Amino acid sequence: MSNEILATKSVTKAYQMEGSRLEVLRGVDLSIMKGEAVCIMGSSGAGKSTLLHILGTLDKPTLGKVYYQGEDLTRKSDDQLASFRNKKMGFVFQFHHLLPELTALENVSLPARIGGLSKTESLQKAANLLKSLGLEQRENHYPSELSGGERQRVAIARALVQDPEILFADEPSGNLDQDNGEVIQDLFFKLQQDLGLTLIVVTHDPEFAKRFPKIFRLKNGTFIKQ
Amino acid sequence: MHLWLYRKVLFQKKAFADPATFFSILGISLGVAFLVVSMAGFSGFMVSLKSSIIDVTGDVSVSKRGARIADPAEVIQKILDSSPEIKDVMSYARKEGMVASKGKLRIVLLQGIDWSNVANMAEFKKRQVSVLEDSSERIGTPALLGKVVAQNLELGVGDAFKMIVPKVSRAQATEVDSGVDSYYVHGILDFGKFEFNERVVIADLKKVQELSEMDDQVNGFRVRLFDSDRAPQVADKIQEALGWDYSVRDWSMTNRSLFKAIAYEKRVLFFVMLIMLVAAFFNVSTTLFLSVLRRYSQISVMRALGLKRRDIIGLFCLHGLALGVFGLFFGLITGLLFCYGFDALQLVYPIMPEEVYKMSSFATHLTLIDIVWVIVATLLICFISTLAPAFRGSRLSPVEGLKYE
Repeated sequence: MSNEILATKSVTKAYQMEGSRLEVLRGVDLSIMKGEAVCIMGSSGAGKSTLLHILGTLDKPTLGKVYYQGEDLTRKSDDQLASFRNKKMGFVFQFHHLLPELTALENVSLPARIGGLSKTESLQKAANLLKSLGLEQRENHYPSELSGGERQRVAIARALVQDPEILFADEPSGNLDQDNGEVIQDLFFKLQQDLGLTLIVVTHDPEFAKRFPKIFRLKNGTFIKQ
Repeated sequence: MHLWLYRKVLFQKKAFADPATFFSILGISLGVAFLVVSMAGFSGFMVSLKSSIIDVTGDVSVSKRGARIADPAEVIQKILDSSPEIKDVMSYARKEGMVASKGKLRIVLLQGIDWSNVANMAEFKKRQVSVLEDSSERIGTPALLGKVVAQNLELGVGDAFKMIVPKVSRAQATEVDSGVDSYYVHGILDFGKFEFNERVVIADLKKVQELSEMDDQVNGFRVRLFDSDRAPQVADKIQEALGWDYSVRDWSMTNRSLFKAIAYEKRVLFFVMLIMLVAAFFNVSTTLFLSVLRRYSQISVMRALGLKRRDIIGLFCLHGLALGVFGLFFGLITGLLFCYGFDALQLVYPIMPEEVYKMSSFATHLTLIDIVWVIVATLLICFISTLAPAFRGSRLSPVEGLKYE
């Protein structure tokens, strides 16, 4: 039995734009092992975010397949994929995307409650996570009352609340100053090691990318070197 | 359905303070209020018409075909035995006659009923315009006049007049005599229906029988029931008990086509008003579309975190229904206030031309079934109006909304 957790086969993503066809990804093949920390690099418009979205089942490829432990994810319905994401995947975006009407604690507990966990249990789990990230004083603060770094840490806590197998991050430090950015970067590697997560990060920051043992470089929709 | 998520995210004070939401609720409220007023108006018109007919003719009226009834007591017993739903039976004598006063003459329908009961009869008490307090010094027979009869003859309470009825001469059958008696106005009534107000004079049965030389014969009976709506069924039973020598008519047979026309118009107006409400619900759709667009990134995040499409549909449908429920609530209250306003205004200004509508006024009347129809129709249209924006929200690609802050 292979240790492969996520793989793509000939993934192509194309957009139809005013009569012309724009291919963002062209037959991408990749394989990611369980517990690996992987970085996807490339210049703007290279298709790295699109690839991350396809790997994270937020988008579907125009052609090709995406496999999770050998299971073809492109065959699943939207609602089946929603449940799958909720249980197996965590996401951190460049912009924190916390819901402004919810407190930090409620934001973190959101995936657990969507997943069917009771209010008490999910809040307890969220509180533990916030504490482990040093945000126990911020539980009842709204996103507008938090600093940029704090918001991103809350977003990380939210991504971890369902104990995912894979953590996706799209430019997680791209919107932060250098100090805060480094704190967040360190946090990712610590979590990956502590929790045994598979970490897939998209960045165009070469310093951040250097820290990953495995880097995929995208150019014009294909990998140039692995 | 994630009710908690709806309560936390969409059901916010801030969202309801938004002008689009405010105007949506206002639109629904006005639509519902007009619907309520029109239903209450039609129901009120029907109820007033029904009660004015019943107060004069009874729930069921019984008469003998082509003849007077010589044995009233026996017939009354038969009527009472025919159904337990009968409250009381009252004999009446009726005679076309003329009222003469101050040199004026008017043709009237003189009705004789048991006078000892008249003062206590609720249906006449509530219709009193004015009544004589002390009749000790009056000479003649006391009578109750329809208000138009009194107006036409310029009669007030206490005034004396002559009652003239034609009668076939006993000496020679081909000649007509007249019987004359002195009467005075004991009270003036508003029967609620123009035809009754301009024609009916009520007096004691015995006096009418004497004047018309009817001996103890009566023309028929007014039957009162515990439940007026059961009149057709009870009328059938009475008809069965008395046989076909007797004519048995329930109140709904009088003006049957008018009642049918009003019921039909009410239905038509309900749908016309519903179209207005549909227009109001376009506002709800627009508000929800705006909300979907404004919350694009939030919808995307929630989808990324595992919220299913049907949950997104549920959230926005619920929001639309919340607007509908608020609109419905305020609309019902506004509608009721309009009804009270209409009723109060009628007391001061007679809005309805009596000659056209046969009634000078009517009180609005809102039935439970009307309210249920208004609520069901409003919520149904509301639900339909939420579907398009809710489906739009559920079909948004999660990716697009995540690109920007």
